[in-house]
Amino acid sequence: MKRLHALYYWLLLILPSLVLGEERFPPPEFETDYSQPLAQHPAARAEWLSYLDIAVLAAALALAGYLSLRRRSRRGLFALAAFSIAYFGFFRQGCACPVGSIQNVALSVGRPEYALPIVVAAFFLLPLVAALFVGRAFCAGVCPLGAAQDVVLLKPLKVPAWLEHALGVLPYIYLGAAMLFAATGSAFLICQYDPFISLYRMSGTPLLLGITAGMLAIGTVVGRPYCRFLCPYGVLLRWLAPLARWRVSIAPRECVQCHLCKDSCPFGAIRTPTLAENPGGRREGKSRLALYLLLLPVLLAAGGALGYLGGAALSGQHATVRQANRVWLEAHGKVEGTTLESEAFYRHGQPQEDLLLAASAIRRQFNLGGLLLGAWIGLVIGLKLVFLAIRRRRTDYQADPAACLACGRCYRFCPEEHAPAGVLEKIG
Amino acid sequence: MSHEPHAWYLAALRIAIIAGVFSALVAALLAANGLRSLRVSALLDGEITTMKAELRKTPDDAALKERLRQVDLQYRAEFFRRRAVAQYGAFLLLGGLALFLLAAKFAKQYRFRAPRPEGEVPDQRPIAARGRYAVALAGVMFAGVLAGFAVVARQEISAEYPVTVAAVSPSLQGNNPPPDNGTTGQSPVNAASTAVNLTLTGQPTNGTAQQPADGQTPTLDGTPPPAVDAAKQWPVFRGVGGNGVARGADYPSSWDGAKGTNILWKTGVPLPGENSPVVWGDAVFLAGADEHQREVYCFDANTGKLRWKQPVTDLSCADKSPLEVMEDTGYTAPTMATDGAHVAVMFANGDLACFDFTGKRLWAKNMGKPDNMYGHATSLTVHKNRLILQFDQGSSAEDDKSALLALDMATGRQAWRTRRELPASWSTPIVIRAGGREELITCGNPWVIAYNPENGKELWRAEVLGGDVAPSPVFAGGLVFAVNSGSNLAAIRPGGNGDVTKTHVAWTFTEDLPDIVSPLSNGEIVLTAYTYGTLTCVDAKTGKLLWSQDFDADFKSSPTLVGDRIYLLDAKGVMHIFAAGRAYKELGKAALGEPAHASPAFVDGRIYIRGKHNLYCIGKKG
Repeated sequence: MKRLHALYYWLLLILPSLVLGEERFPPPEFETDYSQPLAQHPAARAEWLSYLDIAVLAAALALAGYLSLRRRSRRGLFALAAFSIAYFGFFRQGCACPVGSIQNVALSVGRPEYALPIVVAAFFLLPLVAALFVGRAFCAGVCPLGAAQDVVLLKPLKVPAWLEHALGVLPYIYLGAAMLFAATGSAFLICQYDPFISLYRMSGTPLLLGITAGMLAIGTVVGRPYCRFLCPYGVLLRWLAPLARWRVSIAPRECVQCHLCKDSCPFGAIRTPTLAENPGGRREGKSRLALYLLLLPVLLAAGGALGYLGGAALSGQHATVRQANRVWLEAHGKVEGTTLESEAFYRHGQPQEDLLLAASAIRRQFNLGGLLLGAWIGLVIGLKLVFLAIRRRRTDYQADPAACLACGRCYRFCPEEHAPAGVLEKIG
Repeated sequence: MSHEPHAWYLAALRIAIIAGVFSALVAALLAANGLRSLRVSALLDGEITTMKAELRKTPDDAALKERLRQVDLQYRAEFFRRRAVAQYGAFLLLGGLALFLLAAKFAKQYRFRAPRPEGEVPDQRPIAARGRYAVALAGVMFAGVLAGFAVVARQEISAEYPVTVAAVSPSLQGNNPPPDNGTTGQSPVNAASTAVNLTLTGQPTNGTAQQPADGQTPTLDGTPPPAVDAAKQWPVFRGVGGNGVARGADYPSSWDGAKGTNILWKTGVPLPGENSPVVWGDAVFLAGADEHQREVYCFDANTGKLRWKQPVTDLSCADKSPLEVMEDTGYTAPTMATDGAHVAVMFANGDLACFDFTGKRLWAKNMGKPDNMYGHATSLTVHKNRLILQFDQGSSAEDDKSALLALDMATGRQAWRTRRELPASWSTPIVIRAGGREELITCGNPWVIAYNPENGKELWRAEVLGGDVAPSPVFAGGLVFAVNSGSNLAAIRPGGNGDVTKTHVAWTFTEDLPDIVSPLSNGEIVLTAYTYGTLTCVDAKTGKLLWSQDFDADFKSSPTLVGDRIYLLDAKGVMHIFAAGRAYKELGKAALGEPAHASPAFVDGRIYIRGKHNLYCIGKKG
């Protein structure tokens, strides 16, 4: 009886495994003594590691704020940047990333069925919250993209101000375009064209590898080109950093007007003092400002109109529209043969009209999205002109709170940094 | 003060230079490795693709197979070798760059020059002005880009896509892949305009379109060529609607195949087959096949003369293994289907072809060798201008091989395809009209499932069957009757939605159920015939047994209702004729003179029976 029970339990153990072991596609019968290895599936990443990432990010942000504002330590920030490259870059392979999380947020707004993961939401929000307290501490030494650029900077060249202003429009446009493509479910542009992903994953397409190499090469002579002229997340930080509770100050105490920090920032984030304005110039400046303010709604409307008309051209990035285009071309005999995608569509059995109607709907989404993007571009250009027309009175060299990346490079140029408190007064 | 460079500076500088040169070299080697990898991959991949194409044509070429294996191995070895080089090289490059940067930054410390601010504070006004011009120029450039997008958007093909369902043009309806090999290349636009528009009703229409009433099976409206009464043709298995109901009158009730009594003509069929004749106008269609040959025949309905025969043998099939079929099923069990302008055929190896009435092959394709232990036997049917194929395969639902397809009759292009989570079956679907809509009724294990014949979307299902389902459903008296041995004869009210097992099954009956022969109903009674000779008749409304009769005969052919009589052919070729009533009453018998398994066709007072070797046309002489 016991043996019968044992046999019974053995069968209970063996039979399920035999069932589970049945192969959907049985292997061929090998003529040699080769035995096929068992298929293995990698285990999913443990969930607690995601929370560890959030904790590390929070700690790194706090440390960056402390190092840049309290300790004013360039070396500390460099070490933190190296850590970020190692952890957020090579270990986590650049994902999740606050820069790319913008798209996840946009997708969750555009597609209610998409659930925004907690990790991604945290990565999106934490640097923004930190910016309200300590400015762009995220950029100082936490962002792996910025850290890579910071590390390779060797001989910074000054970018002419006019060029900096013109290129400064790009991050806003990139932000708008990335949100449009993400919200419509078309593409994650920021991730697709991340110039550092092939560095951190040590592989990539020839195009991406070329972009990485080019960006790093430029980064040796131009300070943080991606951060200054492309990063869409930087746009959000630029809006919040001026509201920060504690900000970067070049002079630890009082500025003594020595002008030694004038060329200390490789990122052009130091505002220079302004000259006194004559009455004629002031009147002209006011007229110019009034003109730009009047132009603002015109630029908004014009941008919106052009964006509405042109938005549909971008819809070809959506997989459904691409498939509809191909199926339509094949149905009308304008192309020969089929593609894997069109074959898959035919096998799926979905009627063509459903596909075309879906593509039409997506096209209309892009019309609306294009309108918003165009209006946004118009607004950005208009506001840029307005801000450049506003004359500000400054007597000291100040770190621009919106543009300052809190890297700490300017600190050592200030004599107050090296003199203990009160010594300069005694000398003076 | 000494102006000699610091020793650490020199050391760091030298390290930086060496590391930089090393990194550059590694980067160049990696780039070369990548380029070479792309080139070699393209070459080998192209060679493999060519050899695979050759192998499909000559599957038994052992030398080619060996060469393919060698090249494939070479391709894989090359791929993994270059990938390993790339991986190691990437680490070396990373190390070299890290060392270069560290050394460079270290060296830079020793070249730090104190700032020398020169001149006065620059005037910001011209700087701001230049900035405004630059921003304005950037704005103009982006406006140009958006305008360019606007131009592109207008020219994009997606601009022509319909916005609403009503705006969809007929040429874009359906799922129509481009032509396969062997098609005429007819475009969907042309096909839509020239295809015969068909609906199926139960009323004679004399070729005119008529909206069928509820409760009736749809009618067959035909456009040219011949002006025939579509409703009286026999276009699919068991005639219009697939219910086994003959139209017209004056069918003979006696004949003798051996003596020739009431045999109008008798013609030899070149190749064997279990498929039943289909008839349209003066054309009778059959298919024949053996292990090596597959042919379609068109006979003159008036004389029995073979008008044309066409082979179907040049279609490629990925699975070249020998086809195994049961002797009872044979190589061409599915009955053909015609819409009056085209006639389609399917063979056991998955070959599907369509011809016009002159014998010209319009299209052909291989659907893949059916995974069917008895051999594929489901007949084709027609709905409007589409061919319906119930292609159930596999030994269980988990095999996920079964599907229901609709193909454009004229071009063979797929209109829709619906997956079916069922194993293989041998039943033929029918199209009915009920509840103001058309329903395509299918039988399988364990479901009777109804689909929308326009788009293949499931309407309802009822779990009433089991086992190897071969009998086809019928529709009469507002009820769908489905049956299979070992499960149920079930009466189901159509017009439901979703799982209607508990709500729409009017009744079930479980005795002496058939495993091959399809049922018959006139709305009052339902007749089933068990393979080994038991006839069972139940009340159509209640399912109560009315009568049961044992015959000393086997039945493979399905019964036909001719007015108030039922014709049932046994396997020896003897037609049993009895009353379609609530009590069994024999009216006569007629012998063909040879065995017969196929179901006869009844058209215009003539009965077309396929015997084992010959096709017979039976009618009243004189």
